[in-house]
Amino acid sequence: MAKILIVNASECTGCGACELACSMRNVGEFNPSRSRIQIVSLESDFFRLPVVCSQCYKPPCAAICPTGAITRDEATGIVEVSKEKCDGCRMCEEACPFGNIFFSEQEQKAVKCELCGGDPQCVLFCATKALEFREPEAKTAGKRRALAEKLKEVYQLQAV
Amino acid sequence: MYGWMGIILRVDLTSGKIEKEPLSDRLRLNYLGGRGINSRILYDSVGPEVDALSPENTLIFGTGTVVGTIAPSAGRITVTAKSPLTGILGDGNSGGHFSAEMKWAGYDHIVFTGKADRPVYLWIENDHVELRPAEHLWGKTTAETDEEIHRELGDPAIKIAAIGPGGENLVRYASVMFENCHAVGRTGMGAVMGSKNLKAVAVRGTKGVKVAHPGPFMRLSRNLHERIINSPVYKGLAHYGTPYFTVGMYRSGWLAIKNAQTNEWPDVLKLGHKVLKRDYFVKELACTSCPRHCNQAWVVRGGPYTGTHGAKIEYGAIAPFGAGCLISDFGAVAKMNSLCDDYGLDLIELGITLNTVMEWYDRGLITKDDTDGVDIIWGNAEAAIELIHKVARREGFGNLLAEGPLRAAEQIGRGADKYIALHSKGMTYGIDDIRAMKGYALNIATSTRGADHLRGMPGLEMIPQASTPEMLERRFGTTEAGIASSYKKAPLVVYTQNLCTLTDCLELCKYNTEFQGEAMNIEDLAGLFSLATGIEMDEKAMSTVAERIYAVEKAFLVREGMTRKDDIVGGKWGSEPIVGGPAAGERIHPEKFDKLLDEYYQLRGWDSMGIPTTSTLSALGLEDIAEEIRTKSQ
Repeated sequence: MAKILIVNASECTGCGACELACSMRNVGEFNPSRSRIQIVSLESDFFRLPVVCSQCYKPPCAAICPTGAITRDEATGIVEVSKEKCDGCRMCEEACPFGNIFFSEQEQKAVKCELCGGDPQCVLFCATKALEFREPEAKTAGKRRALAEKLKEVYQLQAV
Repeated sequence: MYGWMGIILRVDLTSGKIEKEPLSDRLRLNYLGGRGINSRILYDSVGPEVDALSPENTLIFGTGTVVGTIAPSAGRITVTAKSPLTGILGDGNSGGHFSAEMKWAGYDHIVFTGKADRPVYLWIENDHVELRPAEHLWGKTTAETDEEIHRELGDPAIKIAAIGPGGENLVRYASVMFENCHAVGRTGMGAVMGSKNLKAVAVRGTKGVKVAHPGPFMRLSRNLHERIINSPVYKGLAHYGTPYFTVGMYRSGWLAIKNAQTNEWPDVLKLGHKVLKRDYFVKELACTSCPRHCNQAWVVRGGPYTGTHGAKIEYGAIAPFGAGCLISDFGAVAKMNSLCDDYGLDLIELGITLNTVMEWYDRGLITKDDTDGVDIIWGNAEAAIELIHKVARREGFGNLLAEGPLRAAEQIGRGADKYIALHSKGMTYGIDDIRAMKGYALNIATSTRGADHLRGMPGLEMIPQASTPEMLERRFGTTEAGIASSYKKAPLVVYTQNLCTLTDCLELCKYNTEFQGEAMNIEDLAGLFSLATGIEMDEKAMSTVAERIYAVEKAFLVREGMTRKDDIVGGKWGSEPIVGGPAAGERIHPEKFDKLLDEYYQLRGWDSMGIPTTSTLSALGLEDIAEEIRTKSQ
């Protein structure tokens, strides 16, 4: 099973190292505005959410693309944009419900997270493991485990 | 250009003229960035004739050489001007996300001169720079200002530095607040902004920072991030923030209680990090590119201060507001921290002011007639909070306290000054009991911005697990460098001050360096600098730069008339021993300390009066300063 980028939102501290690693890897400079992973900050509520493409099984961006520039690699699960085929029509921006593919002014093409070809750099700099690169099962299994831990506490409290 | 953006933004508030000036080779190669360049610009533009609160003072915002990159915690900023509190070089250093945003907008430094004829704020969006009216923001807290400017400009990603009523009312220790929770606290930079009618700076940037050697820079950065995470003191700060220090310092006998009348007070446990985590904690947050996330967002969930909240709370607040005032209600201390953020006040100088006032009141030097009826007895949180409001508004008794403890003592007379725990060069710092830590005491006496830990508190004398006897012997000539009470500290203090100077030039966080017994040292900073800029510098070359910057700052002080007589541990800690707790009896021995100061001057290449010699200055390429100092001393 191909690995996916797992976001554990509650762990994000908003340091932005993921954005810096991403922009260096993909555009050769430290520039969060050009990062393909974006941290959204709800300042007054102390909430930080790294938002990044989840490499959909049936990507709406690919479905809408008139030039067939966006494809999903069956082996790696990575949804990629062909720089040659993309003509910058921006319809993919419209199609993605989460804002995870967007038009780059500098490149005049659509850009998105392509998991750095299978070795995502953002994960390497995430101190709190708010980002992990693992088997998709790990995401749901982790949530089930967290639920069990919580219930355990509840039951123990009742037993006292 | 790699590392730097290559631009200094000059804003003349009197004429409204805004200019972009190339960052000169002279500045960037000799002073690197951040505090280093700020200090040199201040030296060149503000002499002894300038009053700190006059339009002739210069106010400088400086990002650092690696700010905006992925180097660990590369997001700090130094704000520099002549200090209205001390009358000498003043600066403060803040974390948060403003500095990186300013760099991404394309600027290394902003230099403000003159005074606007009405309140303004500066708005920077990449190349677009404008002064905007701020009459509608005058009088607002830093949080309200932040919110209002965001509403006005419409982009949530904008980062804002602002003053509150404290700075507007020229409280001599007013802070500049970044994103209303990170402070340039010390030395009163907020009052300088207020004196210039500059309410805030708002910035948004979408340019990139480029480095000369991306691959090796990424590898070194990753290595440093990992070393920080794996270092022995990572967890305490990562999970509790600086409040982690309170109980540890207390247990060592190093925490001053009740205006340093004793170092014993079991109630301190009610102010400990575990209480914060258990009852007040909301979320761990981090500054730009920092693996440590020491900001512990908190909220008060019960009692009179219910609903008060903040993005972080500091040991620097808990120690003076809690231990120093005998206030053991964590909620009350958190409230005081939050008021300082809102009003824009330095919580250390204010905290020491309150400690001293409580002792004056207790001893009858002042009465209710002086305090506008406020019953400022030990442990009275409500009274302390009332005085904070009064200070920020310069109302009644608060107007006197807004001048700082030393000036207030002078007004009160009757020997009031002898109850101030610790001061040096016009600034107070009576939190960590430096009588038990001789290296720390030396740093206080020789700090170029007055009594303060951040110029070079030698963490290696405080944290045994951060060093080995072999390492201390090899690097500082004696294993005693790691023993707090030993006087063999001159090399350790010079090293730590140099490390802090360089950390302030690159604008990284000192808590990730050996300052705090942590991972990064000067060699690592040399590596980051060289790979980022493409200009090769080894540890030795970097240390020379640090010596140069420290000499420029020292020369600024000398030009103001300061000499050895000012390199002191002032206040009662200069003569009285510690009472109570494990470090009881520890004191600053005058002759031993004098000898230590001699050793320090010798290592620095300063004469017996503490003045950098002509040959030292010339060797550092500071012939111009040597000339000026010589003329002055003749």
